[in-house]
Amino acid sequence: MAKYILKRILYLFLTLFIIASITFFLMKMLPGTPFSNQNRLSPDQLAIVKAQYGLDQPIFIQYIRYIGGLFQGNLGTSFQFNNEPVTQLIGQRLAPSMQIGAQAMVLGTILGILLGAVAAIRKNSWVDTLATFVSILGISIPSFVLAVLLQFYLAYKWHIYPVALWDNFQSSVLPTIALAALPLGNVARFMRTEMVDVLSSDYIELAKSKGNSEWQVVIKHALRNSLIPIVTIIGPMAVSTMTGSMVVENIFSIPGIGEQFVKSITTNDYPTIMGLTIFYSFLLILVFLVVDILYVLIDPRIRLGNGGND
Amino acid sequence: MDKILEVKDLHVNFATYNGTVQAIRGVNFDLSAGETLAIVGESGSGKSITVRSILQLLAKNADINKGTILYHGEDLLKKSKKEMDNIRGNKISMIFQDPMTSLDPTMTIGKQVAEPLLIHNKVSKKEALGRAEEVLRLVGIPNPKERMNDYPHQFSGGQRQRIVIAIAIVDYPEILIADEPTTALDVTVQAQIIDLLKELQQKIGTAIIFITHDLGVVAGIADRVAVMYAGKFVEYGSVDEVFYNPQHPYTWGLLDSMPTLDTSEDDHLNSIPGTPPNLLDPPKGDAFAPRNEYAMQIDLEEQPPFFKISKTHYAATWLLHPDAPKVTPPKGIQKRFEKFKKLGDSK
Ligand SMILES: Nc1ncnc2c1ncn2[C@@H]1O[C@H](COP(=O)(O)OP(=O)(O)OP(=O)(O)O)[C@@H](O)[C@H]1O
Ligand SMILES: [Mg+2]
Repeated sequence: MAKYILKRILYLFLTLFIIASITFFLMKMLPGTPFSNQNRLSPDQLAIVKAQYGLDQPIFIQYIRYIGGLFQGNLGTSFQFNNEPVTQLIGQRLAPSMQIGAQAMVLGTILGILLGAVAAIRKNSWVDTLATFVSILGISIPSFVLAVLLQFYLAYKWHIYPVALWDNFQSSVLPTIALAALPLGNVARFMRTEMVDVLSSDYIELAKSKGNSEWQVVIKHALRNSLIPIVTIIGPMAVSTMTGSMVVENIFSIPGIGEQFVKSITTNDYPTIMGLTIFYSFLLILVFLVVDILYVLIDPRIRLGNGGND
Repeated sequence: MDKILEVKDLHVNFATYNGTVQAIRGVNFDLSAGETLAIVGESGSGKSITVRSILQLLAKNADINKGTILYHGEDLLKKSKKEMDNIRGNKISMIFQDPMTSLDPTMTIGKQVAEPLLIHNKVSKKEALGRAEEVLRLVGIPNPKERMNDYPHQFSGGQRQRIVIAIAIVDYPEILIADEPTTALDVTVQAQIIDLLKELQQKIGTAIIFITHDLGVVAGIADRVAVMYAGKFVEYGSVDEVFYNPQHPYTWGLLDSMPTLDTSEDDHLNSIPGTPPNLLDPPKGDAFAPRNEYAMQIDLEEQPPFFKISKTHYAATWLLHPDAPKVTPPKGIQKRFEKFKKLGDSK
């Protein structure tokens, strides 16, 4: 197991390196410069500024410098935002994003599991129909539409929650709900299918024949077996939560990295865009790694290679 | 003998898209303490549904619309859900057909075997696991202590069926229902499992209802045999009676299609021609009539009642009616009759 994790972490860094290289060259190919709105600068002044950021060097040298910096945990300095180091920028804005992201994933997953499980247990009843309806809504309504709707009714019209403010837990409620809808819908749908399958399997029948009540069967046997495949959709769910977060943070003016990302794109702040791209990639690969490890831990049938003795 | 189970006039229907399937159409039988009753019959004859009705482990679209199932005189069909839970796995337990899919893939076998004990008795987890280990040893799992923490996929098919049996007997049930417990296994393992069941029966004194469509294994394990066709019993009696003095043409057909030690190379095995009737719309007369070369006019018009052959032996065929013409059964069956005479003489 330890060997497997070590190998995966090595791959993680290799992937990051490739992603960093690709982003670097893509950035260089983009039209426009971060200084384009400062055309009042004289050519001399521009040359000075460029030199300051090392932009006067050949691309290859810039690349080497950038990657070298990465190895020291340095993502460069922002062109905007007071020339802060990008790592510092991300660090300051990490907490709000993590908070709503995690809250949304946890809320969506738990509610989705419950909804899907109940729908499967009471298959073809009104609960099942309701669950299908809710999950279709969750999957099909884009998070920004939901965010705007929530903001308009719950905040602007009825004043239950703040419109766009970031201070306490209260202000995280609406963005969390907006982000949770998609994972909820996906998990509920997935869970229902899995659970229906599991409930009709032979081992569930054997569990009933032991004298387990309907609920004991669900809790002791059906739930765990249906949950194992759910682990596989956590990765894609994290992806959609991250992308959803960019828009939702903007709508609710949350000082998170998603909002930062959008801002840096509109201002051509290359170092920040690249830094954030690499950071997002890192998070994603990490999530997939954790999911794979989880999978091995919870499903006894999965044995890792080399004879299965680790 | 002490009758612990009496099934009377059992009728089970299934609501389907195409209409009502009359899967069980009036089944009667009883079971005495410690005995083994085998139920045989072709696929789809209703063997599984009959025994599943006892534990009420039927599909959602099933309806037990008539009959009683008396367990020590009390009708199981009138019990509440909770009362039935208390009987399952404790008083009456079941062994399923396919050991590859019957065990929970994510639970250690120790826990799975201990589970019925924890449900039905006030025992600690430790005691239950201890008992589970004992029973695993009893059913022939080597090194049970070490293997308690293994998962089902780490065992062979034969071992898994032993584990399934361990689960069924761990709480010493009074009745053990084995629904084709050996069908999914290869022949050598089949014999081992049958031996194991016999051995366990002697040790814990449980009665067994043994379902199979393989008559070959019946003689080795059963005291009595019931032959089932299209949702009804057509003949029942002691093993000797049904094997060597069969009266129903369907039983003749089954026995004729079964290889025995006496079958020589040139005796070809006959399978019964035709297919069972559609139970969406069962025939008015004897359901076997269309496949029965001895069928008479009355077979098409009226269902035969049970005729008594001996105190223990009954068959539902008009051929046993006093007015019926004498027919000559197939050669293989005549040989069996001769053997039956010898059995009678030697007694
Ligand atoms: N859920 C169901 N819905 C409709 N019909 C069913 C259902 N379950 C069983 N049946 C029908 O009931 C009849 C009896 O089935 P049963 O499973 O008892 O047969 P069996 O004798 O056990 O056969 P096998 O030897 O193949 O196990 C069959 O004709 C089958 O089609
Ligand atoms: Mg069956």
